[in-house]
Amino acid sequence: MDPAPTTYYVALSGLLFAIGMMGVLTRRTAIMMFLSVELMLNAANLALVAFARSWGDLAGQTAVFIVMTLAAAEVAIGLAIIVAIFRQRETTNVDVLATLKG
Amino acid sequence: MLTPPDVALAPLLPILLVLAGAVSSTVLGFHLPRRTLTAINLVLLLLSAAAMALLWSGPGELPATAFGGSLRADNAAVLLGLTIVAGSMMALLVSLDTAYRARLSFPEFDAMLMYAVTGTLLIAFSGDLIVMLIGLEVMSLASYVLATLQDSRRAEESGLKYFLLGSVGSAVLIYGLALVYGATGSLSYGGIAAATAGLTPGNLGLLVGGALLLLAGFGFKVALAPFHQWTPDVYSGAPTTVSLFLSTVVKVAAFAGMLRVFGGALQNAPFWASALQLLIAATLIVGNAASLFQTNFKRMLAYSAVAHTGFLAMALLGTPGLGGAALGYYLLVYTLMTGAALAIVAALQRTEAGMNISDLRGLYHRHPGYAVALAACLASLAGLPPFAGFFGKYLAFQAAFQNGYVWLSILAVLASVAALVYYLRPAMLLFMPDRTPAREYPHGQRPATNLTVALGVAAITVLGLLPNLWYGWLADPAIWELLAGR
Repeated sequence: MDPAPTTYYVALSGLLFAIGMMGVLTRRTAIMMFLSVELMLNAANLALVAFARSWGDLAGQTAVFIVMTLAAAEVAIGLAIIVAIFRQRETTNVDVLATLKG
Repeated sequence: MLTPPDVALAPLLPILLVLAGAVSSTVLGFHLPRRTLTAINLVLLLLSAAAMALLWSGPGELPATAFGGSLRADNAAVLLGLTIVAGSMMALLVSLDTAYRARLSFPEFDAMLMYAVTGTLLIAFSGDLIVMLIGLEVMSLASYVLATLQDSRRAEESGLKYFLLGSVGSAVLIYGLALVYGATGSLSYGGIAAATAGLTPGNLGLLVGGALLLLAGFGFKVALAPFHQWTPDVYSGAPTTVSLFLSTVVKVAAFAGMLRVFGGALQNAPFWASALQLLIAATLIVGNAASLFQTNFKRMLAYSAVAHTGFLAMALLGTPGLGGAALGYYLLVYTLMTGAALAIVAALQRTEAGMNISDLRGLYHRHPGYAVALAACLASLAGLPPFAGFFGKYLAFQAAFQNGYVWLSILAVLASVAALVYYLRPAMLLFMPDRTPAREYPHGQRPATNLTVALGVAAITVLGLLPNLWYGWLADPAIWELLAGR
């Protein structure tokens, strides 16, 4: 059986990226926005792996490991900030955060 | 047969010295008072600057590289790195006086700041997209923490806004990186630049999409409209010392990344310059128009940082030789004048919300030194001739104009005329007769802030009168034409 062509993977990753972007734009809780960002990062990972296979080049695959590590670090920082906010305000709804404007 | 990895320590040394400061602040924070750690970090930053100066390659010399060209200590990296170190030292010096009052006087503040500087240097020294990405994320993650670190509602709100929008920016940038890799099959700047010459139409579409996503991602980081919305909230909500760091060092590093990616790797790729031109036009209009209506001085400086992003980014539209030199000059001047202005705000403000513009009335009669220095910074930010800001703006406009962006240059000149209004209004208030009671923070000796402000103002004056002191090092077009490597 032939392996699926690269375009399928890239199309799927584009779809994932679009879903993630929609999530960021429409969700109003910090946690859900953050989850959507993680979806966008994984879309990029899928694209990187697919391209690495089609070019026969390992650099793209190693890049995926680095992006995964960065995503993990981002989770640590992001959840710490969200927890700090939740302790003060008992909510993670981003519409409550509106002191700074103008 | 396996080839051993290409590890050279000399080009890594400036970064390792800063990282040593970050690690020692993390570890020694349990044993030493914070001021000692700050002193150690200042010394390490100076050593890092010295190490960069030693990496300067004369005419005909090849720049030092490590990891097979992934890390390039070329002259562009050295010049941008020195600008970054200058901004970081200003932030650390100011924090000596202000951190205690801002409830930031923890060793963690120093550690996070130095980790962020490590990331910024990695961007400046990057030779491929992956190293650039690592640097960008190390810088961004540390900056999110810096913005949140103060235990106040304002700082937490600014931190969450910065984090959510910044991580969206990073995700967009990483997806753009993946598409550029898909189009060219390479992650190194040199490989991408070589591959952009002969592309099939299918790959060209990927490349254009990737370049536009990279532009949007960098747009988030440098605050190009319409990706600038977080900037005023974060800069005005974070403690002033942190705003100083974010609006100078972090912006310089993001521009260093843009210069590497768009001036180096993608210099022959189509379409991104037209898109950038539209973003710059939007930034100039939004940034300058919003600054006109601010009543809080710190928030006005935040919008002025957005407006300056527009002016700075014009240099990217120039040919690499001319534009790189213009950007290098303007970035240093921008760092010095913004750093000095925010240092004065940090010294005089009563709360971390900064002061109202009307509170500046008659400052000359209460603090003559600060008033004159602030007037000099504002005149330089406005781009008035005796100061270095004028020459920086002139170089950036010239770079864009000579590359054929005539209407954008005209718009930029009009925008800087509008900018005169909001910079000169507070500058004139400073010297008005003193009728209001003093609204500044009354106490305290501020030797480190005074030193920072004096050095910053002296530097923008000297660089305005003798621009070649810094521009002379930048002027060689060969530095900026080899950004992507050979």
